Amino acid sequence: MTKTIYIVDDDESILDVLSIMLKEGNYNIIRAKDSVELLSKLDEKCSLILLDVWMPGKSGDETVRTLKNDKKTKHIPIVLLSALNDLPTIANDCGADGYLQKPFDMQELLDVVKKYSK
Amino acid sequence: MAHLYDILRNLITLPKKGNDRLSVVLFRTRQSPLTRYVIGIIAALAAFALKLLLSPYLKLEDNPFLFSIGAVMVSAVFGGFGSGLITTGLTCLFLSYIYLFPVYNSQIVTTAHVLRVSLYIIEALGICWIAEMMRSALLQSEFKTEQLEQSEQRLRLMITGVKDYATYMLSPEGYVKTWNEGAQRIKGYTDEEIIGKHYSIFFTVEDIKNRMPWKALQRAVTQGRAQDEGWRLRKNGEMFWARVTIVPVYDEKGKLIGFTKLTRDLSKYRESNEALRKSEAKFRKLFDSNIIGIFIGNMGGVIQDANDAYLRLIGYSKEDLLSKLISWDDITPKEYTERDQQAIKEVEKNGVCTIYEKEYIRKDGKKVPVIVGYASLDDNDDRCIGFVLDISERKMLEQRKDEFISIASHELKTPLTSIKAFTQILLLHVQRNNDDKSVQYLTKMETQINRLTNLVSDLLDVSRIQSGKLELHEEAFVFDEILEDVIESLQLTTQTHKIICEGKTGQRVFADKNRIEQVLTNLITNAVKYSPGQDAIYVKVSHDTKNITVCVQDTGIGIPQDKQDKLFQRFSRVESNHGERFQGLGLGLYISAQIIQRHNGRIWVESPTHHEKTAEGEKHYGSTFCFSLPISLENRLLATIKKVI
Repeated sequence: MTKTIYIVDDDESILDVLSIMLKEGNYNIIRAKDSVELLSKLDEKCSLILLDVWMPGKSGDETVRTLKNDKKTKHIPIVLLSALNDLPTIANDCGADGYLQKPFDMQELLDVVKKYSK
Repeated sequence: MAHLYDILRNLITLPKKGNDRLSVVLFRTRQSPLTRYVIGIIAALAAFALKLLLSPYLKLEDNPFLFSIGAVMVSAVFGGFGSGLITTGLTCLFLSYIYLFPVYNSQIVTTAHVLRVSLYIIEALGICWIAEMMRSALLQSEFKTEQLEQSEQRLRLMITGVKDYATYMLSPEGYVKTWNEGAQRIKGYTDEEIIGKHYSIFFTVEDIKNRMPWKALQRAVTQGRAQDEGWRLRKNGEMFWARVTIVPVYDEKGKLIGFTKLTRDLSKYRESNEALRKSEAKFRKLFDSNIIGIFIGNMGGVIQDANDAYLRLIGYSKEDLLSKLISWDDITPKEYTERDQQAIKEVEKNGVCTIYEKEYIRKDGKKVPVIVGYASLDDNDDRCIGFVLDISERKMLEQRKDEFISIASHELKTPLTSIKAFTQILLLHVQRNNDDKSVQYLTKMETQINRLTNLVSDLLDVSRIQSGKLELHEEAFVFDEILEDVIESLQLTTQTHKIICEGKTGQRVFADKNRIEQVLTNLITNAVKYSPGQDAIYVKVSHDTKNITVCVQDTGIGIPQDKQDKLFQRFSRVESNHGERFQGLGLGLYISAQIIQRHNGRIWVESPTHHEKTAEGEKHYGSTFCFSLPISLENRLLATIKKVI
């Protein structure tokens, strides 16, 4: 069964490359520009959320806290994506399952998604 | 009595220079008893002899004590009361024995006999007493005179010998009457030149116009003394700063007979005083300039003085300062106490401390960042002066710079992410279509994108190191594993050199894995970059009980000795023998050194020489970059336990 990956980033080009790369790995992709759109689209099919940190509105780490505090969504694996250097600390502090530093290699991305997706 | 005293005084002159031995013996204030007895006996014998010699001619049988009275007087005057008494006794016995009826018999038989002897004794005793009184008065007077003369002599010697003070006498009109050595030294005139001249010669034209010399004398008369400080003239026309005291001198009838004048040359004192005053004024000007905060405090931590800038900085008032309410401990956050103590020790040892950053707690409780430095005021003083600069603005700018770099780095990396990802997608696409040319171009493109990404990361790292915000995510891991990974990964992209690993540690280290990988990558890629034309890089690993050591050795261009010290500084780059520069900003080794130091490790370079020309051509010795890392505590504990077991 094909897994569904939610990708959330305010940068369209990042959403594009993530879509193309993940499709190469045979994943279903659902795109969102911010956390509001993510929450509106989120359902039980979600295998993994790839979430940017710096976004308009609610930031990525705040969104992780919201989802991890909700019984319905706390089981969903979340990987934070960012170019920030202190990403490991941010991910650890907010309770994200993993992180991927931008810029990343296609293989790195596919390895991370494979590792964390349910 | 007075007449007699004068006669005696004229007759008996006290020896002054000690050349009259008899007089010396006779008039010693404290004569020995023997001398006195001898004088008394001699006087008695003299009277007896005179009596014997002159009796036949003067018919003195009826007056046997005629010469005895004189003898007693002489004896008492020269020998004192005791001598007189001896003479009286002896003459009384001899003369009454020989001359009084019955002659040559000591028995007193008649009333007349008794009366004559008694009267003689009374007269003799009276003479002895008077002579003794006069003698005492005379001796005392002479003694006082001598003392006075000696005292005058001493004073004269002292006054004439004084060199630092001009001490001389003036007539009531102000003419110089006496002169001393000090006056000659200070004013330049000899006594022949100045005695008889008016003392206004020492005054400036201006002072003479204002009649200062005469006013000073007048003031001395009316006020009992006149004291003044001002410019005076030397003989050569040079001016000097003098302190002058004039005291009027009167005779016993109260008539003014002159003035004593004491002048001291205070030019040097005034110069040093003036220099001190100027220095103090300069210091005060600096202190009150309020460009930076300045305070004076003791080692006990009490702020004793502070300028407005300092008070403004810590939010206290001048009243708080004067009430000694400002204590170093109150305005220092606890976390800086140790650093402050260190600075105080440095001041005690060297007189000054290295400047350092700290924070103050303002009176309102807010904290303010500052740079401080202290210096001791004096070796025998426990006070020190502190200079304090408010760096709030700099800290704010640093924070903004950090934020800017962080944002800029993020914003630069975001498009790089897209470019890199699209390049990889495109590469995948052309690979599938077997378009080798495009694969080649896109691979080169990806290499440059990676380079750009690394540059951005390096700049961000430098910024973090500079602001002390380089975070480490430490964990325990087997060092050999990451070394293998790094070498394997780099070998994939390195076609020109073979990376050869020698040795294994089998040790775990507690470190930031990514950062150590970064250091290894930096050293190996540098070795490749700086050994063009060579074909091997050696990575040698070893360990002892405390550290693991990694050395990356190349056979490249090497590094001259004089440039090795600067290698680990920012923007330090090495040129080839031909002046050719290599790619890069010169940040990699700086970042590596900082990372290793943060792990309590050590990094160094060994590059024995540049290169040598041999018969076979240029021989390269290359460089060896090494670093050591502490083995994790857990591992060291295990090793110790194994040894014990």
